[in-house]
Amino acid sequence: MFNVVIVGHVDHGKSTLIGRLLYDSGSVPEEKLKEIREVSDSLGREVEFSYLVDALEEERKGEMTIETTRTFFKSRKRDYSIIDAPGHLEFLKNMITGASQADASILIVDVAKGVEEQTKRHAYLLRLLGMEKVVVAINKMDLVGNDQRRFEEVKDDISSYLRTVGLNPLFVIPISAYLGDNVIGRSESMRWYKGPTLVEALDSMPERAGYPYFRMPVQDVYLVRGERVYVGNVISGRVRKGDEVHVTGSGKSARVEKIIVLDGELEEARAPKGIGISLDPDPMIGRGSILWNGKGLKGVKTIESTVFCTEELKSGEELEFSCSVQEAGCKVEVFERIDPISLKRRESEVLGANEIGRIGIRLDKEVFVESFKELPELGRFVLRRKGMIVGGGIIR
Amino acid sequence: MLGLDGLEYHYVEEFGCKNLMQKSYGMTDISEFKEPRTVVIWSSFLAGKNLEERVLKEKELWSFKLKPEETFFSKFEKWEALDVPGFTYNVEMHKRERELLKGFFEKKNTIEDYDKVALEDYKKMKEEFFEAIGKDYEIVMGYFALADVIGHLSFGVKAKMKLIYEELDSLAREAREYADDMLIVSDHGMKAVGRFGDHSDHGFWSIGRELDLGRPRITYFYRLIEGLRKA
Repeated sequence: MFNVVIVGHVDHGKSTLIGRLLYDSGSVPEEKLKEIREVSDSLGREVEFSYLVDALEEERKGEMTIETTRTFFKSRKRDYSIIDAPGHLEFLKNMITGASQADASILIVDVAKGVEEQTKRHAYLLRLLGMEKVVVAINKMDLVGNDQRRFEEVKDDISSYLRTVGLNPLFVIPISAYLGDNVIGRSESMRWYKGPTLVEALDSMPERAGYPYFRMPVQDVYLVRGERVYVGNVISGRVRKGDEVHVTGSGKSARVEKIIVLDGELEEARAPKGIGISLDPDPMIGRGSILWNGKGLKGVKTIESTVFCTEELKSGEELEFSCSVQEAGCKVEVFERIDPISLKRRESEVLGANEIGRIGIRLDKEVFVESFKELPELGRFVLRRKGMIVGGGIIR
Repeated sequence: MLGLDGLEYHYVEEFGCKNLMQKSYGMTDISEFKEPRTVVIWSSFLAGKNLEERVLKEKELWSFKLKPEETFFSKFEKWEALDVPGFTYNVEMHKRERELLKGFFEKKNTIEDYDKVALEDYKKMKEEFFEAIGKDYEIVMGYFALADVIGHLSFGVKAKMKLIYEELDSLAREAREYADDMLIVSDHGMKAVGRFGDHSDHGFWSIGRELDLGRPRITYFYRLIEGLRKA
């Protein structure tokens, strides 16, 4: 499953694009389409694609296994999940807490309106979240008569902004989500455009390469027939019975004695997989440690990062820090506030709710991290005040 | 006057139906009724007083009929009321809709069969309505059940409801071309229950002039119409 998030200004056609992707890829159940089409034919009116997503959401109610914030479609190459971000704040919160993990993003821009403040804000957030696979969809080309010159103007504007924030879009594609031009099917009205369609562009992106080294954050310890079993998710790499693994923060190492799953034992477990492990000798550790082998994990006591705040954050505040299963107390120092639109930086000791800024974090104990790019699960963190999330960021 | 059964305030806004909104619009307060029953609310609207008790005494609700002198139409010399529940409602025409609604839950027919009849009835009514407003009446009230009828089985299917609201919006635009003034009222709105729709606890009103009515009771409109007549 390849996860794609669509961001952009609220009026630039995100819902219509999602509806179009569903419709053209045959992902709306035929029965449902027939029902809607019969009303549209009878009244002589066009179905609005932006509302097809709701038609599917209603179908999914009761299917608890499927997140309602996600919509699925299939291309010829693979299955896609579109992360529906009702607002950029929800998306951001989900990303920093790990609820959503996008492999690529589509930044949508209305060709008639051009690059607006919200477009820039969203582009900046993509950068903040370490998103590198970005496709820009310049939408509503039908409204400007499929004019190549206007497309080039908007393309230059957005590309130039993206470069200033350090993003290099892989493709900039002229589309009409309303008519379906260059979404899945190639446009007959824009023959001047020789690049891939939106879905061809997505299909050309490689899946995220799995991080090769074994990492398993310990979520809990169970006592099974007198034996301590360490439970958690293998988030990268693989582990076999007999492998030597190390424990963060303890300097201890041990051999894997058993790999336990609900219905028995395994010889080997590969990410992503939830397992229990028994170790010999038992390192007597608890929740919060990480079992690892291969390349060593980086232990840090200070972190400097650009963060997004959901609540006000002040220099000198003592907060709770968490990264995967690791928790620590910390003291934050706010350095500067960053305006995501003008990109101006201003020295500040306070960051307000929904603001972005650079901060320093001093931890009261060592935590073990990876860069977000290599292993997102250990590359993102959240800050909490009495359990409530106040902000988060990623480790570069 | 357009009586749009089941027209939901929130969808009118969400779908941007400017012609339904007119210059002033809002929700109506129907909390005085024990349940938002169509015949009860329209009868009370026509009579300018709460007729819940009286209507509920009727064996067959849909057959309840007010006399013209009990309604605001009596204030006008020439009037037409088309298919208005509690007054000129065409029980026979709507019978098929009700049978198909029941039939859907009994798996005897499909939603498409039900929608088809609802749309046919709507189109028939629309023709009659435009014929009437082309004539020399002081006031014409057309009642359209489309949003309610389709909404009962599909209120949660927004792509479909958007088509219905667009249609009613263009009905309002066309009707306004014939009239000096236009009042649009719904008896109640709707709320989604999965894909289906149930009556909500508020109605909708709009008028083609600047008027701050707040959240009027449905019975308030009797006085408003009377006032407009005198003016």
